[in-house]
Amino acid sequence: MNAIKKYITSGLVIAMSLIAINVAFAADAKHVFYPSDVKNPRIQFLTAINGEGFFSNGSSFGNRFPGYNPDSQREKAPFGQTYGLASTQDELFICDVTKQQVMIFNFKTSTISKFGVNLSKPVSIAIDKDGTRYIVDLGNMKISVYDAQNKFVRTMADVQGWYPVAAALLNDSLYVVDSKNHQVVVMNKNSGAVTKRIGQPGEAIGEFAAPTAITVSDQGLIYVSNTHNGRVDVIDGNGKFVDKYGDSPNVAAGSFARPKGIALDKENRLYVVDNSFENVQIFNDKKQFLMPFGEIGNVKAGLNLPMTILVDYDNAKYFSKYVAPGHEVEYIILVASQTGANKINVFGFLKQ
Amino acid sequence: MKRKYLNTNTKLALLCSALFLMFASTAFGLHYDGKCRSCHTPHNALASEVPLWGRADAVMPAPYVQYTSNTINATMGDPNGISKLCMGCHYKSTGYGLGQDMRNDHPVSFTYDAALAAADGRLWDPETTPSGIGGSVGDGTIAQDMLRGVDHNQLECVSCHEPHDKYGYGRGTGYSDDPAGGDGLAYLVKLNDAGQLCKTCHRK
Ligand code: HEC
Ligand code: HEC
Ligand code: HEC
Ligand code: HEC
Repeated sequence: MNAIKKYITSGLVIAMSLIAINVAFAADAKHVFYPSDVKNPRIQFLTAINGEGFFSNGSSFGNRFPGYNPDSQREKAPFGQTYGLASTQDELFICDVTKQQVMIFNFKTSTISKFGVNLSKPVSIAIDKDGTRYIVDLGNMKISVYDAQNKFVRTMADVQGWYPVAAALLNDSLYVVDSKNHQVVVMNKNSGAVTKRIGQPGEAIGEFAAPTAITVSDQGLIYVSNTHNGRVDVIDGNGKFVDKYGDSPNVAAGSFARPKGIALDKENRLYVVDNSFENVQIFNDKKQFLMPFGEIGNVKAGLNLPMTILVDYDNAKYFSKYVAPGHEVEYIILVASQTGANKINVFGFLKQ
Repeated sequence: MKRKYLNTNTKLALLCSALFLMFASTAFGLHYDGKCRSCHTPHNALASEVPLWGRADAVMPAPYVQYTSNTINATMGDPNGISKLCMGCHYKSTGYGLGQDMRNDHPVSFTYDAALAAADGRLWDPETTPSGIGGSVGDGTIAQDMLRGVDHNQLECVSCHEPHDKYGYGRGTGYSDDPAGGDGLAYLVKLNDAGQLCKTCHRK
């Protein structure tokens, strides 16, 4: 009798846990959209890239549950600390600061390769039209240049001493953000000669406080994340102030408390990662606030101390399997977090 | 998803009192650039903007919450809000210290209570052991003075560091790239010459 009771109870427990699992998966399978309250959302969370298992289905649970969702895979070779991102056709470049290397995810071949010799803290990468890679190495305080075949070419540095954290290319120049000297150092991308220094410490127009990120528009304007001043500044190639987003640090929606990574799409929509709100805010080319996105914590689309962002048109097609039925993605948006379960969250910008 | 620790609303009320500000800028050694806003983001200066995307009749969005932690899913090692604040500037890649030294990699954002002390055997009971920090705010127990969170049982960066350098120990030995730094004690809450700080909680 007792044995039977036990049998029934354990049967019940199993049945109940199966239901629980199903419910969990059902919840998991729901798509995350932004805005969540309209019929035509603009952005969908697609998936997270957490390490080298991304291509291999490297799940320790196997792929055998009904309703199985690839998002729930446990990553076997997780990233260390992911920072700078860049992309070319078929390839995504990820700087891993703790593993001291740059990884290339090739979506066409589903392979991963790594490069970088004697890199100490690769925090950012800028790729030129000819494929030359400029890696900002904060540990060695140098720019390490590699060719399109990932062969080391040379290093460049500012002899005055600097604290390089990010870089972007415009014509023959490499614009390097120096976060401790609160300036942008402009150097010739071939010789490494410093041609200009833009900005000085402070809060006024033309001044920076611990800037952290930089990006260039198709029109040749330079956007700098002026982190501790709570704004994003727009300057021209000569360093002349053009415009700004945000005013001073504030928690109001549409403002920034600690703006970090920035990116532009082809319509000059500006994406700003806020490390403190743990979200991304989007603005149109008229500086109007469009919306925020991203969740908090270890949930789908959860950002944990997010730092960098990349808008990628070239590889959006490789993520179509994650896109909700009835939608199409124009480009993907990748956001790298410093801690938490999801290292690189991939969002899709939906065609309207 | 409420921000549990650094509740800027109440803290700002304090901040906004001119008296306190005057006191603060003279009595405190100033961490970072001395600007309070680098850590305490102003709340009430600006109105939130209505996002263009979204429902037209949407109510005004609330101000954002900063450095939230998701305790439901948190695993050991996920920093809580108040430690995330520090890590926004002190991280391997963002610079400003935090290196190889074991002292600097102490685990944070986990529960340290009487149960943990009992299970571990080599920790003092935080609920009964005095912190020994001294002064008017430091004469309580470890839990009262050093632990944070609604239950005062979370070990965070501020368990050991006082970001305003209220105790006046200055910058630590790890801060080498500035001639002005280098002989202090990293804004600690108490001296650690003979490991006193460690021994506050560790029996051995
Ligand atoms: C480096 C970051 C940082 C800076 C800069 C900073 N604070 Fe704080 N402040 C904190 C943190 C963290 C707490 C919470 C402390 C805790 O729980 O131990 C806090 C708490 C406070 C409190 C609440 C009292 C308390 O101890 O809990 C006041 C008041 C305050 N700060 C005032 C100021 C003023 C005034 C300035 C500028 C002179 C300032 N702070 C600059 C990080 C900072
Ligand atoms: C258990 C106590 C303890 C905790 C918790 C702790 N620290 Fe420290 N930290 C120390 C001690 C002790 C030192 C060394 C002080 C010295 O000798 O100068 C130190 C040094 C540092 C330094 C300067 C040395 C360096 O590497 O540049 C920084 C920065 C620092 N801590 C930041 C943090 C941050 C951020 C956190 C939270 C993530 C944290 N600490 C948590 C005890 C602690
Ligand atoms: C806005 C950026 C910022 C934030 C946020 C911040 N710090 Fe700092 N911290 C700095 C800078 C810059 C320095 C070096 C200059 C100085 O000592 O003032 C520093 C120095 C330190 C040092 C001394 C380092 C040494 O080698 O002596 C400690 C310890 C420290 N911070 C702890 C903390 C803790 C704990 C928090 C969270 C409560 C925190 N910091 C938040 C920017 C920041
Ligand atoms: C405020 C209390 C407190 C202080 C001060 C403190 N510790 Fe700890 N420490 C803890 C607790 C709690 C644990 C977790 C122990 C456990 O999980 O059983 C811990 C764990 C550790 C660990 C183990 C870390 C690991 O990964 O397993 C080391 C090492 C350590 N502490 C060293 C130190 C040193 C060195 C100091 C002095 C600079 C120090 N602690 C100061 C409370 C403290």
